[in-house]
Amino acid sequence: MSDATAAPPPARGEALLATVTPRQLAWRRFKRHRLALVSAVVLGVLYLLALFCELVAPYSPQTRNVAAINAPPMGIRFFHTDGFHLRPFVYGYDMRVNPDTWMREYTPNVGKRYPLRFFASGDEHTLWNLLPSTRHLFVAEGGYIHLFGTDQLGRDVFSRILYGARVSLSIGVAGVVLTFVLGILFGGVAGYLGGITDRAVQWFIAVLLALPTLPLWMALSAALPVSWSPLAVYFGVTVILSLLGWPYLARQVRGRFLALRQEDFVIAGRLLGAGRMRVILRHMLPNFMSHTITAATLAVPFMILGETALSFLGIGLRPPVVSWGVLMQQAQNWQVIVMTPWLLLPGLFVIIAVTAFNLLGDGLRDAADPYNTGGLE
Amino acid sequence: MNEGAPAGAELLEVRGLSKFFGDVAAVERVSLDLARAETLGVVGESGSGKTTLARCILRAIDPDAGSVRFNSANGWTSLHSLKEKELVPLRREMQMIFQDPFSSLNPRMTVQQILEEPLLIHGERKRGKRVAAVREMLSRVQLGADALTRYPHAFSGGQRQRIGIARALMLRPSLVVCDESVSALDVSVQAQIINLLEDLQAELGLTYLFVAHDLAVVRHICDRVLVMHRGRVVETGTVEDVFERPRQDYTRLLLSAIPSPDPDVPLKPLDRATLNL
Amino acid sequence: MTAPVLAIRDLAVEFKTDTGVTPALSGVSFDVPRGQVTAIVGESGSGKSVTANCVMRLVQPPGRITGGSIRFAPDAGDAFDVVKLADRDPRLYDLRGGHISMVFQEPMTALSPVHDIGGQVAEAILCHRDIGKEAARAEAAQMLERVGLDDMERRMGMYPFEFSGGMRQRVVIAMALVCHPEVLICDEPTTALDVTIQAEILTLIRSLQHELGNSVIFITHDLGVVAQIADHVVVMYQGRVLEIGTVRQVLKQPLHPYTRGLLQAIPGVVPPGERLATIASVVGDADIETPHPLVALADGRQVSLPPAQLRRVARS
Repeated sequence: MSDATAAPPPARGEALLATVTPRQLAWRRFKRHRLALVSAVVLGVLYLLALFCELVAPYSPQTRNVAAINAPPMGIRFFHTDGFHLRPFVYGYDMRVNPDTWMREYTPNVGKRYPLRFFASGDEHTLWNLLPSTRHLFVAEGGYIHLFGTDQLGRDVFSRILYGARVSLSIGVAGVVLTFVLGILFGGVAGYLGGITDRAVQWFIAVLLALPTLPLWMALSAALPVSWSPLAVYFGVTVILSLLGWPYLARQVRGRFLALRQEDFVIAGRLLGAGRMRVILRHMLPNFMSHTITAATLAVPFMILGETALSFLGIGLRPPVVSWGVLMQQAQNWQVIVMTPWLLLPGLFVIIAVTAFNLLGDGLRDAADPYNTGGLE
Repeated sequence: MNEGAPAGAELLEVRGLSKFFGDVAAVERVSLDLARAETLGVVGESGSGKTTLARCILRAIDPDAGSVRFNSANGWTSLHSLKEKELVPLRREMQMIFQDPFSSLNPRMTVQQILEEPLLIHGERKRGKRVAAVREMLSRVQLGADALTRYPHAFSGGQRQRIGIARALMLRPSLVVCDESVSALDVSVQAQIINLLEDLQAELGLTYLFVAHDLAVVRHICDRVLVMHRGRVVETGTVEDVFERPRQDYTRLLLSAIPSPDPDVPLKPLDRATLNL
Repeated sequence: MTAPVLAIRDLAVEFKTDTGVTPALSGVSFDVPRGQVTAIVGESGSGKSVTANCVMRLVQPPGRITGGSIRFAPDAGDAFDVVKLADRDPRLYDLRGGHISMVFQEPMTALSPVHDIGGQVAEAILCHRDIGKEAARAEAAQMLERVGLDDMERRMGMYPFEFSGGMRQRVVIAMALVCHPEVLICDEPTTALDVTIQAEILTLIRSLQHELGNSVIFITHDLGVVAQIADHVVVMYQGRVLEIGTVRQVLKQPLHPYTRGLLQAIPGVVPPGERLATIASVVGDADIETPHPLVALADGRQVSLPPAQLRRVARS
């Protein structure tokens, strides 16, 4: 019989389609989202910076430069009065107090040229609390460098944003991991068992979602003992954020589970005699992880914003811990906006991180659809 | 009911099967018999309960009332009263071919994995044996061995349906339920799959329960037919009897609505209202 | 015979994908005669729906019309080429839903779930004609009655979800016809319906066409439906036209081996017990993948065949 030969000869796309795995196919679909790809790179850079913040930051978050209080950002320069220099440098400040406003005013002084030294010695730090070192990615030789300016105590905003990134970005991921566990547990149990269990979980979720989030956050955070160490508070805040965040994920997991249970290939597995565990592990989980990872990615920004909101209100993390929320707390009044707008830079980083996570989630959502061949065919 | 079937050749006996969704009876007191190596068509419009009936028989869903008895190598077994675990050995004997060639294959498994899964589940430990069985089945459904390492997305609808058929036959079942198995396919591909199903039946002595809404397909492939309407069996008989000499109004209505591919045989559908249906 | 309402010539459409450009249509040419039903028949991937979308200028990126013309000759006014219209040309707006309207496979997607039936049909009138709301509603009621809805007072205020699939398709047909279009395009309008409902809808489309005298393009994969509804048939395969003729010519004496193969693949045509033909077994060694020009024969039909076969066909 030559029945099978009736199919038309494969086009170029089909030939390619024949050889790729679902994972490669998902990657192809993801690559079509330029913005998601850019976001992934941006997030990668942000997380790398956060991971190595001790090395990248020229100062520790508490180092004060009394010569530069509320100083504006410095520009990195290559051209001095005598022409081009391969080694970048910054100009130090000249400070004078404005006799009318009594404000400090800074101007770059061409006479104070501080060349940048890379991987040079600077403040002492202990990378990941393990490796003591004095090396930094860059330091200004013979002076100081404040790329994003300084705050009212003369602390380097650039360094503080990096240290803050470590706390804020990790709290997002830690919170989502915890949310994930709770969400899959409750959602999966509800979706798989159905019946009374399902209704009970649904009801519980409905009640949790009905609680006003902000007051509840505030109440729970206020309950964290003041005597706790910064680390304990950090975990406390993470737990609070996840306790209130899991219902959203649980709902998605449950919906996905219910839908998958009705898919023909899952029924086919059951009809072949596959046991419950095999059906779940072999047929349901692989097809459902991609969707859940997407949901989780989209949940990270809520965590980051949650931490920022709590700390901004002064009931989340507290100084001396540095997080983006804590940093923004400094920028709470209008004077900051007018006189020292660079103190708002942590907010910019929150916006970048949150937007990048949302765009990345969009891309992942499309990539996770197994029936989309990403323009092949 | 089994006209002309030799004694002891019955494979399946369904009596008074009912399934309710809420207060609505999807299937109501349906009885049928199926003899070895025959093809019984189940026809009806959407909502007639034909798919629910098929799934109740295979215990993909649990019926609410009635009995389903299956004649396996170990004699008659009552399927309706078995627990899920006790059903497992019987799953070797009865399989299903689905309608949608896209959703019926796990998109994250290769053809090799899809086809050897039934063997794994039923305890075939030797990898070599599994691979040999998979290759043999693949050639039976006329797919090349190069298909083994590919994923479902790499195949056309007709090819996927062949994979679905291969999966159903891996365990050498005696009963195969085809749930609208050719409805989603293009005419030319449909013809290939119908021919394949007929060939496989002849080679392996399969018994088909063929659920379909396309009466022409049922007439072509089935020996006997069961007409369903609103969950009940309206009429049953040999294909020739039902199509040439329908006894019930509903069957007549269905048959009158088939558009003939001959432009000189005009469509004259009966009127639902005057038939009181 | 009057000029065709639509004359499609050398229409070409391409789809851009990651791996390059895939042609969806190439060299598609046929006429849609005025006041008759033209069926476009083909399997998936044949380009039958793309062709219809071109007539309405509904081809969306990554698809693009890359060549050819669609000459539309309205009853009143000058003929123009639909392909050349600018996106903002007012004639395009008149064309869609005014001169030409469309009925799709899935009636639910054509209806708004949150507006009542009467309002939706009236809205279709108000989009293209300058009459009062009350008058539009009255005309809508008239058209709904014509497509077989009764108890109009009550039905007009009902919502799509309260209707059965067949009833919804009737409403969609009413919406499509309410502006008295010159061409009605039906894209697989009965595929999602049960066979008894399909028979009702086919009868309805046919009788309304007789009554209103409009032209119909009917897209389907079902040769049974073609036989029952069409005057003319266009057979398409892989984005090309293989054969054009009257319904009797094409279905009773198909010239192209592919058409023959399609006919012999239908279980209803082949007697039970006999094997169904597959395209490969009927076409044999004849190459249907290479495009050949459409050649008009003495009896008015057109066919695309390799020269050797064409000579044989022309002689007989």
